[in-house]
Order: sequence, then structure tokens, then C-alpha cells
Amino acid sequence: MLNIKADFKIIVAILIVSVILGFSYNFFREDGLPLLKKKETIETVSIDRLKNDNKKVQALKVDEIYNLFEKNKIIIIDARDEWDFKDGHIKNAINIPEYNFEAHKQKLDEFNKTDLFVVYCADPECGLSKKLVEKLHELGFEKSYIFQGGWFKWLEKGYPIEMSVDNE
Amino acid sequence: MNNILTNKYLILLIRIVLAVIFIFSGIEKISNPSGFSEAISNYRLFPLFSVNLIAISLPWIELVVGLLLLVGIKIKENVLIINFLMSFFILIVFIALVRGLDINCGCFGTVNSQKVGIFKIIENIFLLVGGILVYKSNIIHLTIFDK
Repeated sequence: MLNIKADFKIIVAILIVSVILGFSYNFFREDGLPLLKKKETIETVSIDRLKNDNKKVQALKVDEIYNLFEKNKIIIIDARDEWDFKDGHIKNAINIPEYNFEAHKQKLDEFNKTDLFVVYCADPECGLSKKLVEKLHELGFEKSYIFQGGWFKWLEKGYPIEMSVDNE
Repeated sequence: MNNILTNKYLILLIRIVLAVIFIFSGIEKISNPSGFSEAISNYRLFPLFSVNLIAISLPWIELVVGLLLLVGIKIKENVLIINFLMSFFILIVFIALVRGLDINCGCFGTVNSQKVGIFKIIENIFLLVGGILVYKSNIIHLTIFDK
């Protein structure tokens, strides 16, 4: 039986053509990707000096969040799923899982669009809080920020936490 | 083993299945570039600056190779590319699994959110085996089923 081997010149040609097609398509596409992906920096702001011209997602510092939390001036939202929330969450936080936003968004009905919100998820690397804040902005809750350090940072600081009771 | 390699209908079937999967996968990823870019980032394997380069080129490699394979052009070469891609995918999914990353595999962009897991690896192994069979099969099926 003939043992036909692959022609590597053909393989290289196929790959080159595909890559050229890919970059060409990306170039002409309206929502094409930037060639060099950069880390999105999220600006940290303070309640005293809020400014948000272009509706970017901004972060609040953990200590400021804690102060507001103590004075009951901020609503804390946990963007993780129900099971993580149940295992432990920031005291008085409400759970709006980002993966299932539609099912939980009615929890926002009791609040005003002028209320102050901060959203957190597991750690500085997770992206759920940013996505949830974007959705909150879309719904008109403009004073929504992220708590970048998340659950991890809150625990590190030893701030108040709680777990869900069974019938929640 | 020889039976499998000489059964031209089986080989054709595997070839078409592989081709369709890759065409579909390529199209899904092309239709949602930022979603695919994010899926790649989630693996935390590649330097950040390279992620979009992959997100831009890989889907088109899949699409072109899939199409060529479907019509039967340069079957050996294209199925070899597919086999390398499948091996690569198996490897990165395995690494993600070992590291405990609970992420979407990004196999079809982010539309059908399939998670990284042992089943994904098993699926991919089946596809790789199929691809190896097609590669090793020396039937001159190019002339019969070629378009």
C-alpha cells in the first residue's frame, strides 16, 4: 500500500492563506479585535470625587466600601452563583448571579435609580462584577461600581460576612 | 485495523463529520470575536498580547481547513492540521482541568457554553482518533469522493 505523506508546503500554504483571510476580515469588520490585546484598567474612584463621563466601569476601594456599608449607605451585590453565595457572602449583600441575570433582576425593583451600588465577585481576576455593573448601567442604575478585590479581599480584611439560612 | 482503514464509507463519514465540526466551530468563533478572545484569556495560558492574534487567526484556519476537507481537497494535509489542532485542544483543556479552572471551553465561541471537563477531553480524543484514521487511510478515495 502506498504510504502517501502529507506535503508540508501545502500545509504552510493553507495556514498562511487562512491567517491572511483572518486578519483581513478582522481589519474590515466593525467590531474587529485590536491586534494586541491589552489589560483593561479599571479606574478606582472615590465617592467624594465621582466623575464618569464615558460610562466606563469604575471601582471603589475596599475601605470606602466598608465605611459606606457601616453607615448603610450602599447596596452590595454579589455577582457569583447561588451556591457560592450560600457558602458565604458579605453581610447584607444581595445575590444577583451574573450568569442568570434575568431571573434575579427583579430584586432590584425595591431600589431607586439614584441608589449607590457596589458589585463584587470572587477575587480580583473574576470578570462577573464588571459585567453586572455594565448591565446595571444599562438599566439606569448609574451609581454602580465594582469592588475589585471581591470576596477574597473582604475576607482578608476580616469584614462582616454571613451565610445563607437553609430556606433562602 | 486494516478493515477500518479500507472501509471507504467509514473514512468518508469521519472526514465529513470532522469537516462539519470545524466549519461550524470556525463560523461560531468568527461571529463573536470578543467572546472567543475572552474564552482564550480564560485559559490563562497565553501572554495577553497574543490572545487576539490567536482569536483572529484560529477560527479562519478551522473554517478553511474544514471546507477543504469537506470537498476533499488535500485531505492528508488538512486532516493533519486538524489532528494537530485537536491534540493542542486536548492538551489545553487537560491543563485547565488540572489547574481547576471552571471555564467555558470556547469550542464553539461562547454560544454553546460547554465547560472544560473530562467529557470534553473524551470527545476530543474521539475526534483525534477519527482524524488519525483518516490520515492513515491510504484508500485512493480522493478520486471517488472528491468534488
